[in-house]
Amino acid sequence: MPSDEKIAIRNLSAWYGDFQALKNINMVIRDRSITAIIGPSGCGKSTFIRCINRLHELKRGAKVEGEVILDGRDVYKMDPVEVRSRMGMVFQRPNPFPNMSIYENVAIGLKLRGIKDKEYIDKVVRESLQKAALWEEVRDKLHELGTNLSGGQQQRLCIARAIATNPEVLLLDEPASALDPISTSKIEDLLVSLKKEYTIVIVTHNMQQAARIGDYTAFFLNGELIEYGKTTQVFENPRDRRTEEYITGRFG
Amino acid sequence: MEMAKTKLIKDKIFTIYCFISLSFAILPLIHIVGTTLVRGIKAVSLEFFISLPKPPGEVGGGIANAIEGSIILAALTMSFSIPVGILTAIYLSEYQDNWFRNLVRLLSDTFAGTPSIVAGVFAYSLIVRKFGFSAIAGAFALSILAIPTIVRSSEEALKLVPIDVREAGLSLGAEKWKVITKIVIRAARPGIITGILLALARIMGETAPLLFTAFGNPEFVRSPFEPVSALPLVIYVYATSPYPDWHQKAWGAALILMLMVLAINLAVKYKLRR
Repeated sequence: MPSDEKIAIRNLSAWYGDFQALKNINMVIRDRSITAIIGPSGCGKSTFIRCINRLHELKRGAKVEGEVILDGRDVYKMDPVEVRSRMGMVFQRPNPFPNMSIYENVAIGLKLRGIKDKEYIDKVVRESLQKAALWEEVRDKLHELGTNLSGGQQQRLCIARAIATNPEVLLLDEPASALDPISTSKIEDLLVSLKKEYTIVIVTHNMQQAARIGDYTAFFLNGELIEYGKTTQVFENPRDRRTEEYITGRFG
Repeated sequence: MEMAKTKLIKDKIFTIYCFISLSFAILPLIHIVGTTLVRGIKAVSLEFFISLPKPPGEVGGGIANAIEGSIILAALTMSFSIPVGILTAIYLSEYQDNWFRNLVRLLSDTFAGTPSIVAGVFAYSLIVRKFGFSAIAGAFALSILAIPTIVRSSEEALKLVPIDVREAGLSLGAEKWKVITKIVIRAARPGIITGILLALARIMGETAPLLFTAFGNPEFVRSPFEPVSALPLVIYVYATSPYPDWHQKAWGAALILMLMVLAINLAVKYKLRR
């Protein structure tokens, strides 16, 4: 086992009712790197990351087979609450918790774990907002509603919320797809700086984004993993014809 | 040109129709409010608020017992209906679909349309026949009316909370019940509070179910196990009495009740706007 292996996916398949969304996926996600998941709509890339933190199984009729091994332990043999406490998630649509201030949005993860030390929470809120490159913009209005921020700010708030609980893995499901180009580039810069501390898996329909920030890129098609490797190799020297067709824009 | 003119005239006629209909709807309301205001205000004095009623036929006294009774009944009803209503709504909106859930929803909807006197008869046969008239029995009857309203509006409010808010909560590594109680309820709070206030406004004005549960009481009460008065009961009893002074007091009680309900409705409006 290579020392930088963080998550190993073995024979992972997933279903929605009778529809098989993932077909026997095998791949290794490396520690403190950015792995980009690309592919056309409906290829199973969102389902893939939702299988990693066990959100997929909450949908009605959903089923998962195979193993997702986090630091040597299969997450499907662990308590899902523990699994999710070790992984943060950021969603496609910015979703700060309604009727909660900016401060509360970042602090809630700690509070839900029973942490009450106000000084410690203050410190974590500040550090998380700094890491999410939002602190300077919100330091004077921490007690205003999170939902009053702009879309790009809301998404950075969601990233701050996700890292406040100090996860090891950060899963992002098309986090910039609803944002303008400036907000998108802020998020990308942020992710590159965060990979020093976290293992990042980002789903994106934007190939340029994958090429810009991904250390590794995985190409999914119809629920199958078609190609996976270093981003430079996948983009410059694809081994599979379908990968080449997709990245040169011939379909998808 | 002719066409345009005809269209314009049709538009005018339609507007006039709407306005006439509006008058039919609103004029009786203005009349009721106006009469209650004019006649009720004559009854209102400090004594009216703080003293107990005088024996029948004597002039003077107040309706402090009814104001106290209405507050006691509202407090008892709400302290029971709010937790039951919200927890039921959580079950309906947050847990897996099954036949039991659909049954609960059907029952709740049916109860929402039940005439209030039926709730009174039910409380009478279940509680009053064994334990006698009491504030508890009155609150029980009122709860039957309040709970479906709270369930319905809370369930709607919970359903409006996007699914990914729940997923974001779970992905923070929190248990489902914590996500519901700390995040989802909070997101749905304005809608839930609106439902509670609407239920409160409804039960404040209910008369029929109280006639044979709370019954009425000319004194202050010392425990919820005693019969208790209420504003609508006072209005009913005083308005049907032969004494002119009591008629005036009924108008006064009606005015106070109307202002209380108005205050609750304004609170709802304020809550909805925020």
